[in-house]
Amino acid sequence: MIRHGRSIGVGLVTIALATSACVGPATTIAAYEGKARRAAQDALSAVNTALLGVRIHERGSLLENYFETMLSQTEDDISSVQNSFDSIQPPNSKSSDKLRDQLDNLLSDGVSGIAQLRISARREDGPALVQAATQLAPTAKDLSQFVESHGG
Amino acid sequence: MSKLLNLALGVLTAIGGFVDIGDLVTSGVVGSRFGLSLAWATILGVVGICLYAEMSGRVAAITGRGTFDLVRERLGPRAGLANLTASFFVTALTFAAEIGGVALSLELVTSVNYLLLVPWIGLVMWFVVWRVKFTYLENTFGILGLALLAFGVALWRLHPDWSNLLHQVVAPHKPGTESLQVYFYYAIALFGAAMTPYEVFFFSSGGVEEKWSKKDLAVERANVFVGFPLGGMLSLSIAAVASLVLLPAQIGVSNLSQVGLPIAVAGGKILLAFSLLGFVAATFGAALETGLSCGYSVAQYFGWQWGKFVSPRKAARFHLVVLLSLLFAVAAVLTTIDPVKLTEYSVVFSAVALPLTYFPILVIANDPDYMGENVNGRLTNALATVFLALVIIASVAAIPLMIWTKAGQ
Amino acid sequence: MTTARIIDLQLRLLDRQVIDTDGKFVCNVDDLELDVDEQGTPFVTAILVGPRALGPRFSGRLGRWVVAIATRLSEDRSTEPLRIDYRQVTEIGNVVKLARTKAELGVTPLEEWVDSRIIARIPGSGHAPE
Repeated sequence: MIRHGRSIGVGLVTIALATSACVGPATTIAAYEGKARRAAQDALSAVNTALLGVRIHERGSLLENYFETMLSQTEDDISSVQNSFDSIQPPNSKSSDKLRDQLDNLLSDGVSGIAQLRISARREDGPALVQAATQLAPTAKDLSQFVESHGG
Repeated sequence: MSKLLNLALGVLTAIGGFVDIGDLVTSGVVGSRFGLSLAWATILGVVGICLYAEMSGRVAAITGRGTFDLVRERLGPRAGLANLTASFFVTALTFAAEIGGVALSLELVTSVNYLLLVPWIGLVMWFVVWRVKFTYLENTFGILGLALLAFGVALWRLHPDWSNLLHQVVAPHKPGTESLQVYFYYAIALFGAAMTPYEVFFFSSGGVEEKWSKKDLAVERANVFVGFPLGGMLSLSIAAVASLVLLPAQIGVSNLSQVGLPIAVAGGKILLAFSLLGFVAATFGAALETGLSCGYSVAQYFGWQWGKFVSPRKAARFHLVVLLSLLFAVAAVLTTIDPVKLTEYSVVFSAVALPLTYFPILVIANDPDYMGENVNGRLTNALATVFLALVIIASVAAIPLMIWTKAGQ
Repeated sequence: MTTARIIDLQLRLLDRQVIDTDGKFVCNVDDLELDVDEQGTPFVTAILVGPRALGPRFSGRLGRWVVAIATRLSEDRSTEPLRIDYRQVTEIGNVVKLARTKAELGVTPLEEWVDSRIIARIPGSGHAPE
């Protein structure tokens, strides 16, 4: 009885090790694309939040503290999206590397764009806000396109 | 105070006190990603909590005893301890989430980093538990929580297509961009957010604090059957405005500021200010309730003197438990874990703990030795049994779904 | 000598809330001490209180662990639980009522310790919130 149990145990351990070797840190190409798409979606959400915030702040609908806090929370969100995505090991393929570079650029644009908004907001610099928003808008479009073209 | 005023106060308090950080965040997230296609889960949760809150309130009024007191007595110390452990863990987690919620809400008001606010919030909270009378506490935060009606006002001002909204509710259609498992994960989350365990034992312990008796049954029922559903509608309006403003803008809620954004869009600074008052009041009130519930549950199990109706020296261990729970909750938030994530976990774990919490209440509410002629009627029992089944399904599916969907991604 | 009652201990007595003569909560009936009379009929001699009484009712390691810790922390270092003589019981109903006050009974040492060492030192602890 005990011998039977032990052999099952050995079997389970072997299966576990085998599967863990398959599901290593480098994911499959399709799975990586899926993760990239999700990261782009989250980043788009952050960028759109910031842009919407600027729009309604301009027409006087947002309280100052709320606006500043929102921008810094959104900046934290998109930074963590970039950190998470960058830390994923891409599969060993040229297309995945290209994907990574493309998205990483977009994410960096998003992070710096929102940071610029946050800085301008804290300084209560109206014109700088508008300018930063105008510069960020194309990033939103690009992120949206990225999501669409990768199965979104 | 006249009876009618008392009744009104109770109902208003129930409405304002219904929404907590779990409802705010979960409804916001769901509205921004699923529209109103998960409204059924909130509605189910509201019906469930009405049923069980009424039962536990009735038990308190008839027996003059709190839930955990009776759970141990009726089901034995082992079952009682299992119940206590699960409930205490979930309630303490929720306590931490609520304190995080207060801090985030105050950050939106003051722009001061939420972590710096946490110790002060802890201090004020402890002071309120120590010195403020129970009914005053309940009533103040309940009424102030009504400021969340800003969501209802915002919804109205957004001029939605009402028939479309209704259609989404009664004929739910999962959005194509989200998988089925995520859909059901959030259904469970909404269910857990509406049926939080602490709500039930706070309600019953509160009934004992306020010395309810048989003649208070009608008021107690009104509080539950009018107040809670209206509070549930507030939850739905949080999701609705998110679906109208955030969903089309491809914004998924990931922080608290996004939850209030639709209000600013709909009603500007004034409405936003109201909603912020509501955020702070609702989360602070809920934090008080969860903190006290940590104390109620432990003290009632062991038979210690509990409650705010005696001086702290006469309920020393009870107050010590509350204080320690507060320290734990503050420490948990200060670990810089994302308070929104903390809230999501607390809501899902609430769903897991539900059967352990609700089953004993059903047993006691049916026991004529305690309830005399006020045992459950047949309809109540039929409904309660259905909900017990639902609650067990949700509880069993919660953790696997959480793992499978990586907490809703 | 009052007339004896036959009651179902598990249903009517065990795990019940115990209140004192002022109506204040004292403890729970964590366990019971029984004795046997001349005819061989068992009767209750005392209510046992505290972790040293409750611990043994949990099977296995948890129970032994609870008793061990409680014994270490207790003043007399014994494994004997705190007891309330059954003659103090005046009524068994929804709750178990006693003839003495909490202070006279002396079965809540932890409460007294927490009270004197921690709670009493915090201002405002002496009266109920108004």
